Amino acid sequence: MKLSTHVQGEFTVATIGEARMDAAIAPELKHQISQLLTDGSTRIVLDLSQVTFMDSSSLGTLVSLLKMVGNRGDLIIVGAKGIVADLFKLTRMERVFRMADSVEAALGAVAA
Amino acid sequence: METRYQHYDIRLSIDSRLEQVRVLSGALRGIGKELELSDDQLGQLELMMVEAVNNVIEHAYEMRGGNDVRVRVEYTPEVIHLVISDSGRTMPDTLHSEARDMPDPEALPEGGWGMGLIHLLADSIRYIRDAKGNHLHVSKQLV
Repeated sequence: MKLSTHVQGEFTVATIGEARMDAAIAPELKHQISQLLTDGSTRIVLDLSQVTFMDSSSLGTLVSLLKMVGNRGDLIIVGAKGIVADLFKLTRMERVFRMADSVEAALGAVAA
Repeated sequence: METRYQHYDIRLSIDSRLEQVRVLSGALRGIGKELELSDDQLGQLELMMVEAVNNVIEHAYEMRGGNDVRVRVEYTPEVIHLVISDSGRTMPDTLHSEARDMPDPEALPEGGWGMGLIHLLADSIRYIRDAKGNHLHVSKQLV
């Protein structure tokens, strides 16, 4: 699974470089993001702007990562659009995640 | 020259492994583009199909490869029907009816959305079993 990261202020911005997030790559997604947490990056912005399809198994993986972050950091989802944004709404999980349209909007909201 | 599509009946099949589901998705996307479905329609159809096929692989076949997952796409300009078929374990009637309820978001669920999503996105849904196996029929109105 393609995942690129860079540090922006106090946050690690992790960008999914895949068009699809599905059950086949969900375990690798969990491994790579949890590795970021293990390495000390607890404030994470997860950029989904390149993702055009996501299934519920990947959503479940994001929930498990949210639990891993817990109270010690942040997991902000940005760039969800189309059926990806619909998935969060249909499952009502947009109430649980902090979400923003873009990395800049997410970091701006945190700074405000 | 304008091409007018009136009716198509397309049959797809994959082995019961999660890594093959994306190939099925690609085929559905290709079909949808050819039939000029909107991005919204195609995204919803793909999500319904993927959730149904994942359920088959995870529950009917209990993650065992080497089994057929069959998807039939029946198209008319008014409605599209997807029939997802398997020859694995039949979903209990109670599970099928209860699974339409979405998990409580506040409980931070890590799964259990699949059938609920299909019920939300489909205009009609029925699950039947016969001598050939289990068949989930879902329909989506296009107009």
